[in-house]
Amino acid sequence: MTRVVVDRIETQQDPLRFGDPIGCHYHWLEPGEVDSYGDSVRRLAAKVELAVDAFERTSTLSEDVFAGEAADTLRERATRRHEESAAVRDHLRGLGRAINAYSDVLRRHREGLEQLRGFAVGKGLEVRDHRIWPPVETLPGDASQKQADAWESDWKAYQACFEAKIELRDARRAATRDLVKALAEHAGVHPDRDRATLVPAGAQQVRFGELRREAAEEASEAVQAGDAAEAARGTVDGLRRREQTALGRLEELVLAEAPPQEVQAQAAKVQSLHRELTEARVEMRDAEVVAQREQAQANHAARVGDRLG
Amino acid sequence: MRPIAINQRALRAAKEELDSAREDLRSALGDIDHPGDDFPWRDLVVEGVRSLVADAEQVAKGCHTLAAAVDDSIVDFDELDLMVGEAATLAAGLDRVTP
Repeated sequence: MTRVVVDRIETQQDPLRFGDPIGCHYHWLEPGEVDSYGDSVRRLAAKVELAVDAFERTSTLSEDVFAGEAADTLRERATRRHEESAAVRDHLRGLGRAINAYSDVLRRHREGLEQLRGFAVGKGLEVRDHRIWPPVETLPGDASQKQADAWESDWKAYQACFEAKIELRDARRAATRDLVKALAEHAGVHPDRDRATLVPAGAQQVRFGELRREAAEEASEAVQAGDAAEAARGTVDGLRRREQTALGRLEELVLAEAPPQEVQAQAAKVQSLHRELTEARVEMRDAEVVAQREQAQANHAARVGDRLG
Repeated sequence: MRPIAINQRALRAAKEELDSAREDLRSALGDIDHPGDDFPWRDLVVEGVRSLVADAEQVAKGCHTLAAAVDDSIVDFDELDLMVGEAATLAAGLDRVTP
């Protein structure tokens, strides 16, 4: 699902004009903490990897170990889970790495601001409230040549600071592109400002019409899956009753001291019914899981459709 | 219907691997600490990480349901073994009674 978020900081930072005080203080989250955040995402990826391996092991249980239709169903489920979880692992890894890389961008930005501040102080510019202030705008008419030279050199220093700040900002924004791209690619979230330049065109975008159609399709799939689950429950109930009846008959035969061939035949019947019941139960549980999932997807699609419609 | 051959030890090992992966995964989910302080694109980053964390939660749930399905197979086949054994004993007993 596509999410759209506007970044306040980027919006606020736009209007820096020549002549404004230039901010030279890093006031965001410490780059080291951003780095740890990325590490924790990658650690989660490593744990998802354990699940990927576990699903793979179940999906490759050999026929010698586990055979029959129930076993095949289980292996298919495990294969599906294996693929899904491998995708989640890759996305977590990708986003974790992008966050790590972004922490370096922030670190370079902080160092750049520190150097900028040092430069301004060295040039004798006024640095107050974490900002570099512009020199006075005009000189009095009777200013000496020395004063005029100092004024000009102050403005040149201010201009150098201004340009350095713009460069720092642009470098940071350019480096942000990788992060935003990773967010779109791995987590399906997009910024809506500067969309054309920051987001690869058409990546994971869902249009309103598609959402409506998706909701209708999901609803019909949910109904079908619900019917299938209901039918599977009916099969299990029927088999359970037949098994009970067959067991009762076996007991009667034994009590009546019937011929052994008859008793053995009845025992074989009970066994075969039990085997069928076992498989029907597995199928019923699968059908119930599918029905639940389809219902949840239909609910989700309907909510999304409503919100946009 | 194909004949059922089963190695319960291998099934149990597969189930245990699913269970332990789920536990490890759950604890790592608890370790994700979304940053509270601001930085450019923080909201978008947190939004993205949250959505992947939700996917990882689904993976943990998948471990659980699959482990339960494997477990059910083990139990059902145990019951079947028991029944076959009982029926055989019964039939053997009857053999001795009948002249």
